[in-house]
Amino acid sequence: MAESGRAESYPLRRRDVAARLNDRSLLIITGPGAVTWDFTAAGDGPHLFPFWNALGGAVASGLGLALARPDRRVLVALGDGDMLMGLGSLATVAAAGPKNLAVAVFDNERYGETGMQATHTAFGADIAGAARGLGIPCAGTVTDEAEFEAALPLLTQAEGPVVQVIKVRAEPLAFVTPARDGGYLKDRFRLALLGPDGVS
Amino acid sequence: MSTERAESYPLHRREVAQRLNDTSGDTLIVTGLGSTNWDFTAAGDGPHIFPLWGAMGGAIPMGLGLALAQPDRRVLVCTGDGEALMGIGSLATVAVRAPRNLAICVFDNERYGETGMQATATAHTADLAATAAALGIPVTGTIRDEAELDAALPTIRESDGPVFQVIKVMAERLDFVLPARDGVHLKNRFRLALLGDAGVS
Repeated sequence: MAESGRAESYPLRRRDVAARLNDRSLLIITGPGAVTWDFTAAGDGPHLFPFWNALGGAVASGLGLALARPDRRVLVALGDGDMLMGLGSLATVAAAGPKNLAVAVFDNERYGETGMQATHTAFGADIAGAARGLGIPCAGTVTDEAEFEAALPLLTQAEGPVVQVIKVRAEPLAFVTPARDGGYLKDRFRLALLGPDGVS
Repeated sequence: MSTERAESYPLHRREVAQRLNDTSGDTLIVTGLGSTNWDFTAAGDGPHIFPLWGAMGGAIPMGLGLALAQPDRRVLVCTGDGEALMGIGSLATVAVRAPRNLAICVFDNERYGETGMQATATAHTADLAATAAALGIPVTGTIRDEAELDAALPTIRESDGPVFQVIKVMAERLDFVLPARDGVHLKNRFRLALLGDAGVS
């Protein structure tokens, strides 16, 4: 398989996608790197739990949250590099089958934080196909605005687990960083979700 | 979802290992930690086998590196479903590098054997061959009985790879048949057989 520069001309822009997914009624976990900057730019708040690190851990963390809070919709938004590092966690998501969990993979086919090196998806790895193979039937790939509009209700409302791979343009953007203090980020999220008992 | 079905799969893992173990030494074999190590040791230990005692999830990338370094030799990775699941992303790297001389066989008993036969994701919904195909591996399949194993053996031994075959084997408790435990000895015997004296000097 040959590496492709195609992602530089994908029509969907990641910051626009994040702005449309950033619904404060959701519990949102963002993976390390660009997706965290995207959601911070879209509107930071205690409904967001941004990962500064733990590459590969965002989906597993969202799974735990979805199982703990079956009454709330949980959205994990993460990059393709992060998803590839924790790909096996999709098998656990499939086995556990939480109806309230959706995963949006922002796939620019690049490792953004380390210098925009091509990931496996630039060579043809199909994350939605892998998700279906691991047992998540509601898995698809979105490549343009019309497909994204059709996928939005899947991500925000449909019975899960849902995985949608959103092909976004490979573009370097200004960093918009959330707070760096993990203790603070955890406490603000727990306070918003559980009230004062969540941090006592 | 079924967590019991593997107890009645017709293929027995020790017999599968016997068929795959090329004791001529021509095939370089990497075995994943746990039961596939015991299976190949039982089938006939030798310096053509590099058994991993640890490094769960590492058998496939180890075989990938070996296949790239030794493009004129056939490399066979035999590992369990739990081990393969732990390193499932490595199949995407295998697909990108696409070594023609690499074949991977997953002995899938749908169990974590070393920790007490707990069900793995393949006992639920995970289809490892479909996952491998989605990640870009060109030759994939699932083998469920003797006839399918007979049909797949030439693919595993000779076809242009990378080849990925899931072999559904009976979930059964078997005696441990252990290779040497010394990692340096295992590495040196393998390098000596492959590279001669220069490989260990």
